[in-house]
Formats: sequence, C-alpha cells, structure tokens
Amino acid sequence: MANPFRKNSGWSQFASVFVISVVMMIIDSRTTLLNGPRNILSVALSPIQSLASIPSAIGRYFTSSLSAEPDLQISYDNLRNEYFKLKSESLLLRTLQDENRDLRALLAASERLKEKITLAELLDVNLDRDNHRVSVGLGISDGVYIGQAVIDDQGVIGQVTEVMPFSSIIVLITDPGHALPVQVERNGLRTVVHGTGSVSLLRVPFLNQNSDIVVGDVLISSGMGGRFPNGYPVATVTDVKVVEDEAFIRVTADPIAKLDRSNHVLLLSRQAQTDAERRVEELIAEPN
Amino acid sequence: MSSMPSSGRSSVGSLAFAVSVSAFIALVLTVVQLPNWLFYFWPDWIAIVVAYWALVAPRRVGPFIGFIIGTLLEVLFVRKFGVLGLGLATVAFIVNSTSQQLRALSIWQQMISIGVFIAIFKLLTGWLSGLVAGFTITPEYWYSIFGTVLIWPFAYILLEELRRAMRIR
Repeated sequence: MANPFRKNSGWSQFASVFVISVVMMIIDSRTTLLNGPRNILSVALSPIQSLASIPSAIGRYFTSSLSAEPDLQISYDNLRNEYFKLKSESLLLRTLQDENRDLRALLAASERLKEKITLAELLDVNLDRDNHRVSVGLGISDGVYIGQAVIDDQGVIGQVTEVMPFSSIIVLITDPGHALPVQVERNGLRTVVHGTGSVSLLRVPFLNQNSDIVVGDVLISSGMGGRFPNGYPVATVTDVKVVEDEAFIRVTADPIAKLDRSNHVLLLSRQAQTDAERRVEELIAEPN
Repeated sequence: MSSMPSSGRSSVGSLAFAVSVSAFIALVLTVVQLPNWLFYFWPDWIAIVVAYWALVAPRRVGPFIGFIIGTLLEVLFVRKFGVLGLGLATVAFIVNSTSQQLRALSIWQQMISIGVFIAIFKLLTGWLSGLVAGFTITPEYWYSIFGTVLIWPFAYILLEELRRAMRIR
C-alpha cells in the first residue's frame, strides 16, 4: 500500500524538480534575470564559502608564509637582482619604443594601443575541476568590464566573465570551456589553446602534421578576436606527439602565468584608454 | 515530509543536520588543492553524499533535496542555474527508486551500480552545461567515475558512522 504511493510521490517530485530546473536553465542562459537572486544567495552563502576554503588556505599558509630567514634573505636578493636587471632593460626599452614609433610612423601604421593596467587582489579561488574561476576585489565601481583581459607578471591568466558591484569573476585560461587565440613566438604560426581543467595543462588542437611547432616553443597571444591584446606570453609547448592515423598532431602546453600561485593579478583595459583618447580628441577638436 | 509509516521517531532535524554536515565536508573536499596525478580521478564527493542519503533515507532525501544542494553549489561555484540541481535530483531519484535492490547487493555490485549512476550524472550535467554554458566534455572528464567508484565503500562506512552517531534510522 505504501510502496506505490511512495513511488508515485517520487515521480511527481522528480517531475516538478525537472520542470523547475529546465525553466531555470533556460532563463539563466538566455537572460540575466537570475543574477539578482544569485548575488543575494551568494552573499548569504559567503560564510560557507570562506569556511570551505580554510583547509586549502592553511595549506597555502604553510607552504608560502612559513619560510625561514635564510630563504627570505635569498628571495630578497633575487628580487633585488631582478629589479636591477629589469630597470636596465627598461632603459633600453624606452629607446626601442621611440624607434618603434618612428618606424610605424614611417609605415603609416596605426600606433599600438597602450593598455591601462589595474592591480587587483584575489579574493577567492575556486578551482573546481570543470570550472576554473577566481574572483578579485574590483567591480563595476572600479570600471571593470566583461571581457577584460587579465594577466600576471609572467603571462596571461584569463578574462573577466562577470562583474558585480565590488568584485568580479575571472575565468582562467585552463577552464575547460576557454579557448584563446595564440601564435608561436618563433615563427608566427597562428593557433588556439584550449583549457583542459588541469591547472598545468593546455591543449593545442587542430595543428596538422607538417606544422612547425616543437617542444619549448613559446605561445603568445595573437590579438585575434579582440579580447586579448597581442604579444603577451601564454604557454610553453611541453609535448608534441604525432599519431600516425590522426589528422592532427597532439600538442600540449604548460601555462606560463602562475595561475594557482599569484595573489595579485593585473587587469588590462583598453576601454579606458580609448575613452581617454576620445577625450583628448575632443579637447583637440574644441578650439577649431 | 509526509508521515513515515515504519521509520522510528528520529527527528527530521538531525537528518537535516547530518545531510548538511556531510554536504559541507563534500564541498570542502571538492575545492581542496590537488596534485596533478590525482586531479582527474578526484571523486565527485557531492554526488556520493547525495547518493548515500538517498539510499539510506529514501523516504526523506529525494530529488527535491538533491535539487536544493545542487542549486546551492551552483551559487558557490558560479555555474549556470539548473544543471547541477537537475543532475543531483536525478541521482537521488534513481537511487531512491532502486534503494531496496541496492541495499541487498554485495559491495562490488553496489560499486558498479554507483559507477553507472555517476556516469549518468556526469553525462547529463556535462551535456546540459554544454548546452547552456559552452562546456566541452574532454576524455579526462570521465576519469572521476573511477575515483568515485573506488572511494564509495570507504565513504559509505564513514557516512554510516555519522548516521549512527546522529541516531538516524
């Protein structure tokens, strides 16, 4: 007597949940109506989130900040050396920049846009296997916008996918749903890198057997697609495997940026620059 | 939620507490940092927890609870709404409707069944997130089924301990 009733209620419960889920999926993928409830819920759940990140935070604390004095001395020396090296390089860079500008002027090419860089601190890291997201403490109020490229001091990290009032969410280049147009630094061969869900593995698909790519090649962003400015290092090729019967070769690469280790990231904004340029143009136009 | 004929007087409160505690531990285990070799085989802890409670308390933990847990996860992991909710509701529903048979099975047969359920769960959620969020299923996506199957007996024993400690029948 109880059994059919239970089965019946199970079915009806499942059917109603099914309908609710499908409706939510459609609404959430087509509109932004559910972002409000999501933000409210995420504020309500933030204690859970911070509690859940305690164990990994403890692990990070023990590996990073519990270092002995000699280590600190060594890292200080390294930083000092690096500082002087970079400083001397930047001296050279200025003359190169001038030279480059003159050459571009000679060729009548448009000047390369200079990106405005904003420093942001990571609030939270969510490296769920199928979803690589980090959130940073800058939001709408700081002029962050969707699609903004994010780098660290070594290379490309990802792009902004969601902007909230005081924080924003960045999808990493290793997210399984992320693809980034790149080119090989050595010869300019253009291709795409896909994330795999592992923090240290990227896949470079659709290269045929006679593509000129070898282990150790550096992949830099190509600027195609307009999201990422060109020339930023993305990954180094770690493995090139030719399988006889396959149309494409299997190429894997390792991200250059410290995806799971950096505490600060840099947001590159072009919009701010173009706004500024527009203002400059307006200023120039006004007297006439 | 309706009256339960044969089960004891154990309060819904302690069950809710046990479910939330185990779901929280599963959440912590999901976001923990992992070495590379373990990464893809790391079990789907949340699905294990939902499957366990749907198995031992089929009258009270069903698709609806699975849906709630899934929706909370979608908020925490910033996923599209509905996918994980439906996936976990499906797991709860399948386990619910086969709970009597599952409990009669030996541990090996139970592991295989759980593997099949998790595969259905992963197929469904992977396919749906492909539809709504452009997720692509990689070969590595399926590896966690093995991890889940292997960890199932141990997770089962630990959750049994929790259930006994909370005096849930």
